[in-house]
Amino acid sequence: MSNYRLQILICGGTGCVSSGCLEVEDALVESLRKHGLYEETKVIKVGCFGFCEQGPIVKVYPDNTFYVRVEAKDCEEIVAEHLLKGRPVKRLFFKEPSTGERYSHHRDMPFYETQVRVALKLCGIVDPENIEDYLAVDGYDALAKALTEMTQMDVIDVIKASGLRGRGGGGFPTGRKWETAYNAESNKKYVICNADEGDPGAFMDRSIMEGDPHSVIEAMALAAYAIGADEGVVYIRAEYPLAVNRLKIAIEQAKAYGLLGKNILGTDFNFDIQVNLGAGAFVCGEETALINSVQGERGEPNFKPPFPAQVGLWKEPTVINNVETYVNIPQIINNGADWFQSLGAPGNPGTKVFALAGKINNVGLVEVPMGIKISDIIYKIGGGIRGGKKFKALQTGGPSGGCISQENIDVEVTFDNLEKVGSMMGSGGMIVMDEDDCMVDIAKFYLDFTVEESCGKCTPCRIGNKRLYETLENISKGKGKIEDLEELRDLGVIIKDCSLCGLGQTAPNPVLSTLNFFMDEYRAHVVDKKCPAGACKDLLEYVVIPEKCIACTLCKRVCPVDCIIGEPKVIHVIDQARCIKCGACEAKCPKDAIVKQ
Amino acid sequence: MISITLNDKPMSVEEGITVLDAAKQAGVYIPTLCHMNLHSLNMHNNPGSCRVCMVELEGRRTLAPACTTKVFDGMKVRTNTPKAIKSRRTMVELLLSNHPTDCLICDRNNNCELQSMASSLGIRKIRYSGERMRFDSDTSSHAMIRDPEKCILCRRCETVCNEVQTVNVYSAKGRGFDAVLSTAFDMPLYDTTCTFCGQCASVCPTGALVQRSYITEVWDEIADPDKLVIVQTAPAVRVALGEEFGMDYGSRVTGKMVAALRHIGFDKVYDTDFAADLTIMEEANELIKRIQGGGPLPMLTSCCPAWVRFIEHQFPSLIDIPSSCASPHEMFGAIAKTYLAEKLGVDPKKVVVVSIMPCLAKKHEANRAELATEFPHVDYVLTTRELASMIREAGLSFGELEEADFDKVMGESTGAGVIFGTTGGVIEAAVRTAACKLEGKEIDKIDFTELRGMDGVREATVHVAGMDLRIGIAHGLGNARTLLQKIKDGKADYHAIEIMACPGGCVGGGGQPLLQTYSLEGDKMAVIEKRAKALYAEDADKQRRRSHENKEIQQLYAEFLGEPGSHKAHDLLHTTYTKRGVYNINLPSSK
Amino acid sequence: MSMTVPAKKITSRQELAELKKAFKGHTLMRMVSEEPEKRREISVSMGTCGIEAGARDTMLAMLDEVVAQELDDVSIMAVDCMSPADDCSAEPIVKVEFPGEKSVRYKNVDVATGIEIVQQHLAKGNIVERAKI
Repeated sequence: MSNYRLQILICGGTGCVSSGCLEVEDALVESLRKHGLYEETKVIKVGCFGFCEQGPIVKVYPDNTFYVRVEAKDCEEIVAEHLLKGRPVKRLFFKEPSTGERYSHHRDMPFYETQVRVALKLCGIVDPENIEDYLAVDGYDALAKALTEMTQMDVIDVIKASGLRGRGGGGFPTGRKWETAYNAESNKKYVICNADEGDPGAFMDRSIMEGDPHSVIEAMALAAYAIGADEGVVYIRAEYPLAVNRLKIAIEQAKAYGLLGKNILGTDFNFDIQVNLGAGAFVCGEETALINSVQGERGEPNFKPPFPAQVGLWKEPTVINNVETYVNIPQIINNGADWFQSLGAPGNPGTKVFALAGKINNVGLVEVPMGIKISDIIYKIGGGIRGGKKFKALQTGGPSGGCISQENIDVEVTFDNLEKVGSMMGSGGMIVMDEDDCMVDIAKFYLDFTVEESCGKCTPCRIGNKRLYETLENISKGKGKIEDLEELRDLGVIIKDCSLCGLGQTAPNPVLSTLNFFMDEYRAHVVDKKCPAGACKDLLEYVVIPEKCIACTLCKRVCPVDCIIGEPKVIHVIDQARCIKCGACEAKCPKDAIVKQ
Repeated sequence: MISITLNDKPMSVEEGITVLDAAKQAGVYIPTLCHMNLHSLNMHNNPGSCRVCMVELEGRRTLAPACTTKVFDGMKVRTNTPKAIKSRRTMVELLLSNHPTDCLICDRNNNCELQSMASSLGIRKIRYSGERMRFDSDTSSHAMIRDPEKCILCRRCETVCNEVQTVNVYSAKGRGFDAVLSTAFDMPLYDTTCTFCGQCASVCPTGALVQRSYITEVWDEIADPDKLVIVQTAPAVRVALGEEFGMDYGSRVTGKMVAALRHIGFDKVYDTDFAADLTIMEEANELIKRIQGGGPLPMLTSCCPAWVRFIEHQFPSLIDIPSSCASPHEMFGAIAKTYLAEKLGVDPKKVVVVSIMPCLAKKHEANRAELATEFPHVDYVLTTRELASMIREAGLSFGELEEADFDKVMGESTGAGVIFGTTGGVIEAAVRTAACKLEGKEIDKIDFTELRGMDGVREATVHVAGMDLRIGIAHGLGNARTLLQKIKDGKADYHAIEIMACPGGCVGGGGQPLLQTYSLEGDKMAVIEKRAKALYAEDADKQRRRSHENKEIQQLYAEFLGEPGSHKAHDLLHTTYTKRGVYNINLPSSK
Repeated sequence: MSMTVPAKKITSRQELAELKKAFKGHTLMRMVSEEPEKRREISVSMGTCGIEAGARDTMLAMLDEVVAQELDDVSIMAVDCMSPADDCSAEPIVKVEFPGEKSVRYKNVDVATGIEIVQQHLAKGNIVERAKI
């Protein structure tokens, strides 16, 4: 038997690995052998399909069946019923929470319907550990085209014409960056791939490297050719072992095929890539801090200018782009600048990958054309707010971003629009908040992260953000004063104005944007000493509604600190001084007589 | 040249300079805290980290740091807008909110850049409060105290230690609010490769790195009627002490200094220059023996304790080449507690030797076990700054003191002893005597100007007694490293080498008056040079200018020591060194 | 890693193109399946009776023939039993469907007939009338 009748793709992304895809793979192979189908079936572990919440995901070709939440025990049924007898296992189809409808093909699912896949095009399609898969599609065509048909400037011109902007957060035009590096005079230049994805909850770069590492390699080679570099560095977090491993395999394979190394495709272009592991400092995503780290120095930023494109790694001109930016590049070279411009919005061509999370039904990685409305992402792709609750805010841009409120929910997602509404694109985190989320608490959460991740080099970021955080903490404990709110804004603005690098310059954003859009909530905390969302523990009180209390003593018995006074037939009272606000009594009360307020 | 507008005034400036440079040229003051460029020392500390020097640039949304922003044609800068001033104040308030408030009792009270900044910005209230960083202060060394809580992360110590001195003791560690400058693995300073040169303390803007003071102990000794407290003063002190009392750089205040020491209550006031002459007697003798007796060559001078520690840690394989002579103030202490005590009829146990030095490393050196008999040669080392402090404490009007002379027996010195305080001086003093000894007669030449100068690494060939004496000189440990590496690699064939750890030699020592660095931008060496010139002037004024001409020294050998290099001289005046290496600790082995 | 070690490094764009052609089969099924509206489909009835009647052998033989004929846009799928109620005599049943056209059903498709269907119907557009239902 030489030809496969079936190809089964198992999501092998980090998310699905942790939800058990490896066990699924083993069980599947076992059942295939048992039913004599193993020889005619090819089982491939691929990269992320994006719908991580539904993992492990298994996709069956040629039927194009999309199974979700597959467990090892389901495999026998899949093989015996579907693969052997052609009867798909319907209970493993995705069920849309809002309608209850089941979908066998992913293309019909609302989650995927609106998505446009460019950066993630090959994720979940090719075997990331086999260069032959990548070669079988468009792999290395763009590099071959550039090396044989295009001058260095031709490549840069196409990228410039495409309007591609850096997907790492800043949105700087990629072509212009390359041009600067091209024009910088030096015998030695470098290209760096910034894979130090650090925003909490963001994992698009990881997924791309896990699912389609060769696109990254090809794009880096294109950048190297364009600017005249011969060495590349991928700076990747050590916490991404799977991505590191797949990237290393891919580099070895590219070398074996002569697609990296000396005289690539018989031309005089030489290019090699080394992988550099980062120790997981958020600030090392900042390009100058990243370069310091690669050089073995303390990972802290330097002032700019000079920009890395002028003076970068080992003081040589260096192009740094992030993973998502890179993977667009081979396709732009293959399909042309016009094709790329036709996607997305004016001034913001192409697509953007977002990590959609929070209080939303469909959690996962989504790629949408620029210019899509926020409401479409939340309601069409995301399937709306979980549990039918009310939307309160969308946090974008990670810890450097801000919160977008209901009034801006129809804003079209572009670099510029998000900044206009007080947030930013960032690397693409999108966290949905509902009525139970307290915006003071949210601001505090993000600031806690930046305070922790600041390198500590400059005064405003090191001490200023700490003071912002402490003020927020006081507010959330009911110790805030009304003047604090103005002080927060004042200091926040100064920190933005004075900080050395992007981390400090954006760290106050979560505070400033929530102050702008949720001032009422802040005032409630400092004036009324109440947390309207009921999230700030210190401002809560659990109280017994006497009319509802049946004096059963259940709450009294469950209270861990013994602060409920009462006995059978005597209406209970909670001693607020001793209450630790654990909520156990509320959960236990059979008559809903205990409420938090 | 390009055109910019600074505070509405058009000006023409060189391309490539910073806004801060341009402002200085225009006479516009922009405050800074972290920035420190001492071009003549090759120190360039531009982290752009304190964010105090923020200015407004037309067309830029955020403020720009003047220290790291380069000028461009057509740039419009405003340095004193309300926004810039407010940000500046905020930065200082933030630093203060994380700073101990013990200014009144801090070593740097009234001489602290952060304090001055707060004062000049008129800060009367710190709007921010919260957690303050907490660290134990490091009192492990005899020379310095490191109080990380006062660190404002200007990184100057790191730059001077790593780039100028190449000792690499400090680097930033931790992140965010926990970031601080520290030693490797937070080791106590005493256990590191620190040479205690004190250059870090002399650039620290606050009290995070300060000298360890022994003023209180010295006052107690002076107050003790049973003790004979004698003091000796290093050559470099007399040409810098005046600065502490508002005098010009390079003022010679030898007589006033002696008078002040008497007023303070020291029983005897002697001169380390006397011991410098003694050192030359021993060292010249050793050099001649090593030249004539086949080595080892080159011979390195050993007067500088920071330098001694440097070679012990960094070049242990070269440990045999420094002269075995102890440093002058140690020789002084050894003689004071034997010969002098005997002469004065005092029990040596009751003799307390206090050294006034331009140096922090001498404080460490005084505690070296090799430099003691049954008691240490030197009991306390005070710096030039500490002496100034005692003078103020005693309520003396320094400028009005009547000049006085050193006491006899160990008070006489020649010009050779005086120039010990500057780079090139020790070797010139040695050559003055060695030349005569090699020629077998007194020669006419006294000034070996070919050995003078302020270049970091110098070499010269001196023709004496029909031979070419090849001399190497380095000051600053970075330069010393260059020279030592050449020796280690067998690429140098000097007979003698002088090394001093501090830039400019002892005149630029870590215990000297702190310089107001903002006004001195790039020109600290000019001040050091003025001090050095004053030493050469003092030398020129001396009647006797060769160590062996010192009558008291001659008397010392005649009555007590015998010949240079005698057994007794060896016992008292010579020392040994230890191979220490770099970080001799058990690190987790890497697989 | 299932990659074969290349005999030699690629040294020209031409060599790259040849290699890519050789690897095309790796992902063909996936690429074709991603756009099901464009592909031609062969469905083989795979109920218990179908398997009993040799449907699996037919299916695998047709698969090899599809590959041999380099029919890049054809997918072969096992589907649930296509027999009319209580009548398994027509098995193995095979359905051929071109995009936008009415499907054609074949009955009693043994290995030889299966190969003929591929060669005639799919490769040349000639319906194999003798087996047509």
